Order: sequence, then C-alpha cells, then structure tokens
Amino acid sequence: MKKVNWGRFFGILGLVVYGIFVLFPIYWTINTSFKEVGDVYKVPPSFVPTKFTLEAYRFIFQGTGRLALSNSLIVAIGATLIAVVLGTMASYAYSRYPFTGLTNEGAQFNLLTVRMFPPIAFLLPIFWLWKTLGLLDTHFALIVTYSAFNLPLAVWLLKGFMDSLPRSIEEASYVDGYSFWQTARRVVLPLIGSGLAATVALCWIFIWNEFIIAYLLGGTDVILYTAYLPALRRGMRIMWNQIAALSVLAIIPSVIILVLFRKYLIKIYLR
Amino acid sequence: MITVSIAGVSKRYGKKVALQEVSAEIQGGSFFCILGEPGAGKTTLLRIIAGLEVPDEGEIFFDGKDVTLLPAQKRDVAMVFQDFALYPHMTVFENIASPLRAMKLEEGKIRKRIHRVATFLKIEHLLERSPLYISGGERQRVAIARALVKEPKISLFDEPLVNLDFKIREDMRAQFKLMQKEFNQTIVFATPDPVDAMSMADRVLVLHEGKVHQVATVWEVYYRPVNTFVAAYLGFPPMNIIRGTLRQEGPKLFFFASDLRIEVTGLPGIWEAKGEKVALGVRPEHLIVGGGEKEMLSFDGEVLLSEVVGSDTIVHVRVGGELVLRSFVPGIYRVAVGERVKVSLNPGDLYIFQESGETIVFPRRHESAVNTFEG
Repeated sequence: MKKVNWGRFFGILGLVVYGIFVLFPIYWTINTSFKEVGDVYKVPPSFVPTKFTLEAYRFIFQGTGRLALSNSLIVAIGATLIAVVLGTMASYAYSRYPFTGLTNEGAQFNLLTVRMFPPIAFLLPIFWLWKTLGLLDTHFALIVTYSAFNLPLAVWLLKGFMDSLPRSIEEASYVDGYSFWQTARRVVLPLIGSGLAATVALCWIFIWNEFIIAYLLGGTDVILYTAYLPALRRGMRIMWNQIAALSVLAIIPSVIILVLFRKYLIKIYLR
Repeated sequence: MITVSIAGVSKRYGKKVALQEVSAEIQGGSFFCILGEPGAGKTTLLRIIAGLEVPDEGEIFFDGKDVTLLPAQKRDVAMVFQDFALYPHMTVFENIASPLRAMKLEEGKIRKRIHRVATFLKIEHLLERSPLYISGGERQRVAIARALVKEPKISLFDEPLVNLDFKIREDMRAQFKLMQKEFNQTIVFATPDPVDAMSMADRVLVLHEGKVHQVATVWEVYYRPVNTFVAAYLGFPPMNIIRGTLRQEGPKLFFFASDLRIEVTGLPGIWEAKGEKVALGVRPEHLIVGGGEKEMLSFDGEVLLSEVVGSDTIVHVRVGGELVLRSFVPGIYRVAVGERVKVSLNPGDLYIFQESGETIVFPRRHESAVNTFEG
C-alpha cells in the first residue's frame, strides 16, 4: 500500500481552505454585481445571478461612480509617483550621505514616526490647513496629503535596496566618465528596479484603499471611490449590486499592479 | 601620458588621520607601487588621485595642472577596485564598453578596442556572459579590461591581487608588467604585499599610518631603506633587527646586544650615530649558517627551527644567549633542531639604525646595483 504523506495532505488542505476564505468574498462581489437588486435579498441566496444583468455597471458608469473612479486614479497615480520619486532621492541621501547633528538612523527614525500614528491623529490640523489655504476638496490637496503619508514608507523600503548596492559600483561609473545623474540612470535605478516595483505596489495599495483622508479632505467636488461607496445607500435600501459593481471595477488597477510586481513584493517580505 | 604630482596631501575621517602630508611624483609611463599594510591609507591616496575624494589639505597636479577639485568623471583616469565593482546588470562586453560609451565612441571603434584588450587578457569567450556567473580571476580580468580599454592618462589599481588565489596571483604579476608595456600605461598599484612591489614596480612609495616613509626605486628601497619600518617590511623573511648599544673601547666601536659583541668601527657613517642606543639589522639571506668565509664575523648558535619553504629553507637560530635570528638558505638544508652551528655574516652587509628607527649605516656593496637601476 502507498504511504500517505499526511503532512503534505494537511498542508494542501490548509491552503485550499485559506484560498476559499480569501477568494469567496471576491467571487461573491462579482456574483452580486451582475444581479438585480431584488435578487440580492433573496433567501436562500443564489450562487449565480438568476437574471444576469449589467444594470449595476451601467449605473456606475453613467453617474458619479465613473467620476469617483477617475478621481481615484488621478490621485493615486499622482501620489504614488510623488512618493516613489521623492522616496528614491531621499533614500539615496539617507543611504549615502552623513547627516549633521543626527545619525542616519536618527534621521530615518524621525521620518518613520510619521507612520507610527494613525493618520486620523493628524487629520484635523491638516483639514484646517487646506481649508485656510482654500484648497480643500481639490486633487492637489489629496495628492500632497497622500504623498506625505506614504513617503516614509517609500524611503524606508528603498533605503534597504540602496544600502545593498555597493558604493564602488557608482564610483566605477564616475571613473568611467559618467556624471551623477547619468550614473543614477545607468547604474543605480536598474539595480534597485525590483525595490522600485515593490514600493510602487505597496504605496498604490495604501493610497487606493484609503478611506478617512478621502472622506474628510474630499467628498464634494473631488470624490474618491472609497468615499463614494457609502453614498450608494439610499434610505432604507442598500444598493448592494451597485456597491459590488463599483468594488469590482476598483479591484482592477490593484490586481494589474500586484500581478505585474508580485515577484518583487515577495522579495521585500523575504528580506 | 602625464606626470602626476601629489603635493602635501592630508586627509582625515573624523578623528582618524588617513593621510598626513603625502608628497610624491609619479612619472608618465612608469609602474608605481604604493606599498603599505591594511589601513595605511593606500586606498585613500588612490581615491584622491582618482578624484573620488577631495583632500583636506594639499593638491594633486596632472602635468602641472591643479586637478584637486576636478571630479573623477573629468579626470580621464581608470581604476580597478578591490571588489572589482563590475555592473551586475550588464554583460561583460557592456562592462568593458562602459568607459568608451561615455566618450561617445562609435560602435566599430568600441568593438575593435574591446577585441584587442579581450584578446590580450584572454577573456574573449566571456564577453556575452554576465559578470555574476564568472570566476573571481575572470572578474578581475574584466575589471582590468575596463580600465585598459579606456587608454586613460593613468590607471589606478587598488589591491587587485588580494582577492585571488596564490596561483593566479603569480600569473597576474607577469601579466601586469607585460600589459603596462603593451598598452604603454602609467600604472599606480596599491598593495600590501612587498613581493608585488619587488616584482613589478619601477618606483615604490612606502606608506605607514598615513605617512610616507620612502619614495624611491625598488632597489633603493630594498638596499637603502630609510628606517627600520621599511627595512623590515621589504624582504621575505623580514630583516633581523637586534636592539643593542654602541660603545667605544679605545679607538674601536662595538655593538653589544645580549652576549653578542660585534666590531663596527669600519662601517661608513657609523660615527654619526647619536646616542648609545641603536639597532643592528641583517637580512636573512646575508646570515650564513654552517659555512662562511674566513674574513666573516662568526658566532656560535643553536638551531631552534628549520622551515622548508618551497625550494628554500629558513633556519631560526639562537645566538649570543637569547637572540633569535632568521637565516635564509637557498636549497633544502637539513639540520637538526638543537644542533650547534656556526653563524657568519659579512660586516659589509650590516645595517645600523638610530633608536628613532632612522638608518645610519647601510651596505655599500650594492651601490652599483642601485645606481644601475636608477640610471
């Protein structure tokens, strides 16, 4: 008789259970998004739409939903770019240059403290700041605020990659006759490429999924999809199919980024 | 080719002094060795010549032009780093092409130049490989190729042999010398190994704790070391240095150490010795165990240890009670531990050093050799 490898059996069983646990909500969201609202409340619930309809998607595309999604895209792309670009430069400085009056660890710790408090602790003063400047409810205010909260994360992640890059490689490039910026483009950036990809992915996820800042600093002129979702509750009735449709659409950019960059993300967790 | 002048260069890192008023001249087309123990400041000096570091004091001149503040990319130098510093994301070919691309040379010329150095260094078969998947010796050749291909004003080598095995080192020493002639380069070579300096260099700068002890030809550094440090550093096994006292007895001058008494009256320069305390030096190859000629000074000794190093023997003998001296005997010399032997030396081979370390007497019979090589 063949010997059963029980360790392997339970390992796979565990992964299958975990897979169902993680994937079921996504499946259910997709399922719900194609139902009519009446179908959603049916007991017992059906595992496929009884009547397949794109009505919920049509609603999202025609109304504020499309605006909310495009606002979210503008803000998330802008803030991720700023956080990653500034983070790359800052992490280079943290990795390469001495700080006067502070150790590099001290300077870096100061920056990291920004991430140690929940954002809501700072939000009231930030709200007043933008309000005083007359910039409340603008793309600009949201992009700057998100960049500020994600910069420490970007610096912290990228500094690890910068540190692992031997200085002599950059120096070899100077000796070869390349300037600082040429060296950055030819040598430094390609060699920290996986770090950049992972940082983009993580910053994106934090910004794209964020609710409180979006709700407080935006919400009227510039509404992000996370702030728009709760608005799909009409009176006593919750339009679950519309919420589900918006959610499905909102998952798409994150899925693309995560699939593209997943091997670099794994590298970060393995460090 | 250019002449590089280092004028009073000092560099500190925090409180640590890396270089202290270093001055030297490197002639175009020469093979110049910076010799010093780890931490002596060799790398710092190379980096200052390369333009990767700015000295706190002093200047660097390329053919009389002050380049102290000129950054590395504008100096037209090449450097082979201790860790080779190859670009891991480029092929070997692209690594070597890097300085040529910076010059914006056309593709045909780039291929031609790379072909020439790659053939010389026997790395043609590696050109399309990644530097991550070649051996240490191959990586070093690639790093050297990247320097050579540039045909720079000056090439700087930072301990390139340290990370290689013994066998490759031997081969590379010969190659470096050939390469310098073939490509007509000015090479500055930093190394902790006196053998590198002795086998390759035209001139040697002996650096110790950031200070220059001597800058001279290999022969001069070997036969006329300026002090005990240089004397002991160059030569394998190192020179025997015996601390003792100088005393006058009648018209004669004697050196005393332990039970040893050596007449030094006739040595040129000996009367200039200041104070009684001096050190006497004799190279192991000048200390003869067993035989010896009549006119030599002889002592009785006892063999403590006999090491066979390849085809030669190093005999450790105890003389004059408690002094242990090393003798270098060419060939395999069989002698039993504890055996009584006669140890002889020619007074003409003796060195005498001041208590401060400064040389006052050095052998004159090598003068002709020194002069020939200097000429």
